[in-house]
Amino acid sequence: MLDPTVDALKRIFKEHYFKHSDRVEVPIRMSEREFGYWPFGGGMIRHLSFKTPGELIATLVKEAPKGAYYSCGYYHEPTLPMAEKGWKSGDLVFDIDADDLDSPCKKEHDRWTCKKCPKMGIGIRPEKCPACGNTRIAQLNWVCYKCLDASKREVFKLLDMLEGDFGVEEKCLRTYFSGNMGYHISVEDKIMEDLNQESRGEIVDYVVGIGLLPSIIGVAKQSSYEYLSSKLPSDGEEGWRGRIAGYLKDYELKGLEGSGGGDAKAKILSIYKKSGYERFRKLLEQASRAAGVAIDPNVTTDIHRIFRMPGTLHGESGLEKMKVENLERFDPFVDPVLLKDEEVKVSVKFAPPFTLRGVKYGPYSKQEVVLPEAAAVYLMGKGLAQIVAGSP
Amino acid sequence: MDIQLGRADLAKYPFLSQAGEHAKAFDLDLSDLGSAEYAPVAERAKERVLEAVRKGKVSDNLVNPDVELLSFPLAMVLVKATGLEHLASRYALSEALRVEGLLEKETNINVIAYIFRNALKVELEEASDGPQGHGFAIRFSEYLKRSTQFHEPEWKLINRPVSKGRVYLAKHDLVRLIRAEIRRMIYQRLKSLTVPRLPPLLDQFVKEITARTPPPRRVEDVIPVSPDMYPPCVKHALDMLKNGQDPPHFARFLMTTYLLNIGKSVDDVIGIFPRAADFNERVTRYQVEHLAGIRGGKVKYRVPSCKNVVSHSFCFRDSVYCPNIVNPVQYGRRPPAVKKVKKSNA
Repeated sequence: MLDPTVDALKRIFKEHYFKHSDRVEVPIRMSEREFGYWPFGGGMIRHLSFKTPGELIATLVKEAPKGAYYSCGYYHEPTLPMAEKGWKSGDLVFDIDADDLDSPCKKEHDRWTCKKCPKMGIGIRPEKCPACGNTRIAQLNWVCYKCLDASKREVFKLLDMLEGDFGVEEKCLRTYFSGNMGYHISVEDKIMEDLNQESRGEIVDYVVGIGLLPSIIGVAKQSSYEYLSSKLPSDGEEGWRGRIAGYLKDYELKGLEGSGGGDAKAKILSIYKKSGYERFRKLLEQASRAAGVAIDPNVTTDIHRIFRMPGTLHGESGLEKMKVENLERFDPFVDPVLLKDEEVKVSVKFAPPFTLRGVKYGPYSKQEVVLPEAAAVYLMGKGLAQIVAGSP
Repeated sequence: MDIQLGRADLAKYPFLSQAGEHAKAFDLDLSDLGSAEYAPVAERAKERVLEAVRKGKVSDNLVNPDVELLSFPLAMVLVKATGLEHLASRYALSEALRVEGLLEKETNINVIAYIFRNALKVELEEASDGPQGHGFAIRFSEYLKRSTQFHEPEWKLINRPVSKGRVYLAKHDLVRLIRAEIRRMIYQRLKSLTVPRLPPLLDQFVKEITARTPPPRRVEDVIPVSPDMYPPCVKHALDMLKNGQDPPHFARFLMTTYLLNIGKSVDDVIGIFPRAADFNERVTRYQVEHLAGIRGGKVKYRVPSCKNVVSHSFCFRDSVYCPNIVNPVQYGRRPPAVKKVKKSNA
């Protein structure tokens, strides 16, 4: 028998899929893809194939899983074991997760709990529980407007790079809210589709800003200042030279305070003169990571990954993985909130404050509250609340 | 642009289709080439192969262009007839290095562009809008197909001028890409070549070449490595475990595949884990056995490349062994990097 909370989540998801099956975005070339889903209270089920959208929707309604996925890859035989599927090609995808951004707000809203004793704390988990010394500690990653706005800025940077550097046409780019912690970007372009794992790894390094050589912006160990002046990049240049120039132009080096905002070349030269080659090289690493995009490298390079299906609900939040038409205006705590306002009584272990559809909730600590279905699922999905018996 | 190459050029670049057509016009078979009349061709063919064995590079000999041109396909036959896989690989590289040397000296940029298009079958754009000295451009996808085979950081996409899906290239970049393609092309041709019965002279050459070719180095053999000779990235992951820290997923993958690949048993590897924060022997055993190829896809996982380790920000390279390797498993097996001695200007 299912846990009553799991049962409630499943019932709510089932009702949603039954009423809003038209929201599920059926992928192109579906018969060539592997599908999978993660049932509430069970383990991941993979290597499935659906021949028709109807078959897929029927399974979603019947199983009402906490996550539904399909492969970015196209296979000859999607249902066979991985080594025998026969990879043909695959969409190029990017995952930008607020959790990877190390935003300062993480220290305010993330929580940890010891798995052995009742001890809990704010911020990133310690190596050992300060109360009982246990090393098994659960981490709760939370999101707020600040970190999802930071993710949005990363998406803008990525889209600029894909269009400007890689020449991807805007019509080939799709941006989705992931349903929980960030954004997914998918490129549907024949040229990208055929790239192998190594090539995708190179794209990742390019996008993230890994491995940039000082010589790219004209800096070599032995070069004279005159030579440097002629080779250094200007602010408006294309590609990585321009990105580095843009970052260094406003960089405040100790001893050179207040020199930002002028000509990039002159600024870079004065930083170089002040710092010397080795320090400058390290600064360049910092500059390239800051000017690059914080994507999850594993998602882009893993050509066998199954990726959350657009139009389905995220089991940890109840929010929809939703296509974003206008990123500037998209509100991740309003637009993808699709569950009902019907009230549900839950017992909350603890919860940092959060906002859904413009209504503020929490903070809560060891208390029973009556919440709209969407807010109750937001907490139950994260394991922070239990349904109270007798609740509708 | 299509250009007509002269005899000397065809002799320099005998892998081109134009060169093949020129050679066919002689209408020779192997018995002709094994006869006294064509002894200079056979001798040069043998020399090509032996130069590859001895020096790792085939020389240029343009005294008689026809001999030079005809000796190339014959040299391929000799290599194939030895049945030595490692010689095929060495010969392909040696010929490619010869071509690279010639192209570096080539002053006619049209010849380079022609060979590039002919060998790589890639659309090469003459680009006037690129950075100084980068007069050519190709699609980034075509670039990546090839550049990922190179290990020098200059070939990373991030270190290239890239705009609107095009990668800008300088003349010497074209030459390097040609070299890699020629090597691959010759190796592929050698693989698919079938050798009929050879005339006595050629048969004797094959025996001589076989006798003078040393056996292959077997770098992939399992060689026990003492812990003080583990690469710095693996050492760092092990140190993290020892100190009760929680190495990231990638570090665990790196460490496990490395230890399995240097011949450690599944139990040896599991024995290293108990001090990890979230140890669960059943789960760990399953994962290690999966990487060892005992479970799941039954494929033994390879150690991730140095490039991959860098991408995951887990590279702690040293200046002794790391500069000469492309995979952590090669650490200590390849000679240390020799520090260049600065020439004094005095």
